[in-house]
Parts: sequence; C-alpha cells; structure tokens
Amino acid sequence: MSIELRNISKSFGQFQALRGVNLTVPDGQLVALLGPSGSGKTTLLRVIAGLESADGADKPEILFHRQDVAGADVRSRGVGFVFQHYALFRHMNVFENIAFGLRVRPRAARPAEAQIRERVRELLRLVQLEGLEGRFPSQLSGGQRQRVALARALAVEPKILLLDEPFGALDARVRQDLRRWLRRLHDEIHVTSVFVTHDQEEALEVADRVVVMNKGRIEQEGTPDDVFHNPASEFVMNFLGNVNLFHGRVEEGKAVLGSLVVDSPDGKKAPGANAKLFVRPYDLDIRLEDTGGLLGARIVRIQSAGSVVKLELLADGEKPLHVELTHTRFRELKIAPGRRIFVVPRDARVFVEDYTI
Amino acid sequence: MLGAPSTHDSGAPATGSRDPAAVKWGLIAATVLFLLLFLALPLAAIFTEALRKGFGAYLASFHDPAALDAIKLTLLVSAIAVPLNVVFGLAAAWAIAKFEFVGKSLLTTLIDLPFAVSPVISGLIYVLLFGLHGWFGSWLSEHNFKIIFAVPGIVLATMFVTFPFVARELIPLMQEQGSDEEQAALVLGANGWQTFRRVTLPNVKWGLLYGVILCNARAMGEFGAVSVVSGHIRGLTDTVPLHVEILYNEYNFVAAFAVASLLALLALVTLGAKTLVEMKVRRELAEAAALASPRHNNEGQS
Repeated sequence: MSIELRNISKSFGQFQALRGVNLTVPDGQLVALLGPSGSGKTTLLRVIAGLESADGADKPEILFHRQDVAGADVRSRGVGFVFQHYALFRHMNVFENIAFGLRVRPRAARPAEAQIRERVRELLRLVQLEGLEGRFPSQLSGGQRQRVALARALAVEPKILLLDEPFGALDARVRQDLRRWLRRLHDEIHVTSVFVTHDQEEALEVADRVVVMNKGRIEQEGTPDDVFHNPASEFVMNFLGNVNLFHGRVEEGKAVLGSLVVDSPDGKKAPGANAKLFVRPYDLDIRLEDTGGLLGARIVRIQSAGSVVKLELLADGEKPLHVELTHTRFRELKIAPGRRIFVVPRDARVFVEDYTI
Repeated sequence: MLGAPSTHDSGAPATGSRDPAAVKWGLIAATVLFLLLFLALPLAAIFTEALRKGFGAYLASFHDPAALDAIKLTLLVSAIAVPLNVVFGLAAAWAIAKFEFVGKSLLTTLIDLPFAVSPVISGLIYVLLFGLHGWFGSWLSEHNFKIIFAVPGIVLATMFVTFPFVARELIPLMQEQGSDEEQAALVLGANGWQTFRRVTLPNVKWGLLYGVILCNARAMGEFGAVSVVSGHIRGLTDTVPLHVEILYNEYNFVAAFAVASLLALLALVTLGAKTLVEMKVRRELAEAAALASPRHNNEGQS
C-alpha cells in the first residue's frame, strides 16, 4: 500500500517540527527517514500513524493507497507501529503482548482462541522467539524486546509498518545483526515500511529509499546510491559522512580554492560568487611531488589499523584535512608522519553560494 | 585515619572504629526507647484498659447498640468515601501523569491541600457551605436536605480529608511509566476503555491498592473533620472515633478502650498489608525504571 503525504506541517508551541512536507512512499518499499535530532523525522512518522495530527494553513493530505486518511483516527488506519523503546505491555508475557491486537478486536472481527494461538505461534517463528512466549518484557534482552514489539505490530496484519528508531536503543553488535535481519524480513513480508533513524550507515544499508530531513523539511530523497553520490545540498553531503571543506571563489566556470582549481558547471551562472568545495576523505589522493594545481600539506598522524588507512594532514594555512587511502596505495607511497606531501581531489562537489541574496 | 587501625600501630586505641559502634547502638537504643514510650506503650495500654474487667466485659461493650451503630456508620462512610476517592484519584492521576495542560502544577498542589490544612478547618468548610447559616443552608433546608449533622456531611468531610492518598500514590508511578504503552494499545486498535482496563490499570494495580489501604485507614479513623460536621448524635451520626470520645467522657473506660482497640487493630492490619503491598509497588517502580533504561542511554536522539 502506497503512502502519499501533502502539505504536512506541525508545530509544538513555538517550535515548528514540520514545514510543508510532501512525500510519496511507493508500495512495498522500505524507506528510511534520516536526519539529526529535531529534524522532524519522528514527528512525520507519528503523523503518518495518526498519533499526531498535522496542522498549518494548507490542507494536509495523507493518502494510503490513494484514500485520504487524514481525518481517520489511529485505530482505524491499520498501521503497525514499533516504538523507540518498544512500549511492550510490562504486565503481559510475550504471548499476550503479541496477541493483544487480536484480543481487543470487536467481538464480530475477533478470531477464535485457537486461531489467535496459531497466529501468535507463526509470528514467534517469524521473529525467532519460539520458547520465550511465557517471559515478561523485563526478562528479555533489548534485541528480544525489539522483536516482540515487531511481532506485536505485525499481528494485526498492518498494511503499513512504521518503526521509530528501531535500533536506537541497542548496542552496536546487536544493531548490525538486527538491521540485516529486518531487511531480510521485509523482503519476506513486503509490507510498505517507513523507519526513522539518525544513523546514516543504517539508512543507507537497510532502506530502498532514503529521505534526508533537516529542520522540518525534506532535503533530498532517493535511493541510497543517489543521495550518497549525488548529494543535493551541503547538509546532505555533510550528514552522509565525513567531508573536507574548502572555501574559494568561482572564476570562469571553475572554482578556485587557493592553489586548487576544480571545474564547476554551476559557476558559469555566478562569476565571482563564493564557492564551497566538499571532498570525501577517500576522494583525496596524495602525490609526493608538486605537479601544479595541488595543495601542499604535512602529515600529522597515520592510523592504519582498520579497513582503510586514515591520515590526518595539516594543509598550508594550518587547515586540517582527513584523507583515507587503501592499504595498497599507502604501501606504494611509503610515507611517514612529518613528511611534506601534496593533495589532489579525485572527485569533489562544488556548491556555489546563491548570488541573488 | 578513619579506617581500621594500621598493622604497625597496634598500641593505639582503636577509637576510630569503636566510636561509630557506640553511636550506632546509642541511636538504635534511643529509637527503640522512643517507639516503646510513644507507640508500644499506648497500644498496650489500650488493650490492658479494654480487658481490665475481663474478656466478658470487653465483648459486652460491643453489644451496646450505640457502639454497633457507630461501627456500621464508619463502615458505611468508608464504603462510600474510598471507592469515590479511587475514581477521583485515578482520574486526577491520569490527567496529571499522561497529559500536558495549563495549570497542571496548580492542580498537583491542590490535591495536597487536604494534607496541608487542619482537619478542623476541613470540617468547618462544610459547615460554612451547607450549615443552616451557610451559603447553601437556606436552599437545603427549604428542600429538606440535611448535610451538616447528618451522614452526607460526614461522608463529604471524610472524602475531603482522604482525597490525596490514592492520587498521590498513583501520580509518580504513572509518570514513571509514561504513556507509550497506552499509545501502543491505541495503535493496535484498542478503545479507551480497553486501554484503561488492560494496560493502565494492571500497570498500577499495586500502587492503587496501597493508596486504597492508606485511604481506608484514614477514612475509618478520621476524627477532627468528622467531629465538626457530625453533631455527635448517638446512633445516627456517631462514627467509631467519635463514639470512643463520648464513652471516655462518660467515664465508661472499659467500653471506650474496647471500641478504641478496634481502631488499634485496624491500624495493625493496615500496617501489615501496607508492608506487603509496598514490596509489590517497589517492584512495579523498579520494572518501570528497567524498561525505560534504554531511554536514559539514548537521551537526546529524536
């Protein structure tokens, strides 16, 4: 079931959490809402669920499968919601937690006891918690609670699954396992899912589409590849990983940053404007000799324990730079701390400051 | 310096470790003495006085119709006041713990008001409102309603004095538990009543029972506020505590202490029940804290 959102705004007192958000989630996809604290991602999720209502001047529209549900209350929207801290019913065991959604149905729609048992068993198998149905939430680990919360949400056969920071409260190791598991689970059940996260790695690894949010607005939306390789704004570039930033000016379609010169197609429109150059640490290469148009730097620190070699440099003008090299390239170069070297960007993104301001 | 005497200095007196022990036992002795003098001794005195003329005379005190009427009235008053305070207490605690609204802290303060004012004032409020010369007095007498010097006044005064017990017990518990579970129930399709009965109420059941025990003990034992509104009409508006006073003033000591022993027994039972329930409440709170712990590790992430 697809989700379409139009003109979604939401204020809490003076604070505007959402500013006119428009978003379409295609049927059967797993979408990540990614952003820092206060970017409005959790509020957006809660608006989709019906736990918050959108406000603002323009009429907000929330369409599930092209049907407007903006006026419908939480109970009738048929969504599954996994809360950040799971919100398991503490006085009920795992079985009763999962069965809850079926037991509270009106008598006419309520399945027979035997069917409820069968459905709960099925879900326990799906989330790999067989044998734990008698435990209480306080007797479970974080990862187990998380999976009970998921099973409980799936018990009512929701058309849409919403997850608020599903891995936020878990330690790093469990997190890794669980997010791969969630991806496999989604491939199995194919229910349209939206999850909120502040962790870019998580969003890029798990989701079909990533929606990057900032200050109540959507900054960019696209496949993980798309947002990572073609960031639409400085914010997205910054948020999706480490970057080195250079300041300079635009001259004749090129960005000039000290001794560095980089092509900038945007620059033709705004000659003389300020330009910012963003380069990912692995897009900086190192040369031992100056061949012109390079930036001189001194090596401060080398950290080679890990999948890449991380260098900390101090470029001319005391500007710190981060560079990542493959181990092969590092061995070729035979460099050590203190040595003077030259830096060249292999790939870079130039953002020209708007000249009209 | 303050630790155990060092090995090379065995000659020095171990005053550092002897003094705290003396302080400890001194404090314990003072506390026990105080308890004996002010709590155990009076309690023993009640039963000694009550049984002074033998067990037969003790039992005979309860055959007095006035005593039986007082017991019946006390049971009736607490049977009305306690359930109503459970309802009000739950409503107040629910509102304060689970919703945000203007004037919330004022409401929280108001709930404590009955604890802050003297019980006599609590009684006088009702005399001023519903007494013959009170605000609604003439209207009430025209319509033949009697509140002051009648059972409704006693119930009202008792409810006022005992109002905070249930609410105060539930508010911190409900606040600690938050409203996530209620929201989860709502998303899963539960209606308001189902959410309350299946989620909220079971989560606070021991805290509620604790409040009810304290509320009941106070409702049955309240003297000051009830004394003001009752009028001390024997057989009609006499509750157990008031009846004890009447008997005592009539130099009927055996009967006075016999009836008082009922209240003393109630206190002992309450104390026992309170201790048991307290353990369960602590578990409820600890569980709430344990289930919320990821929140504390993860603060500040939206």
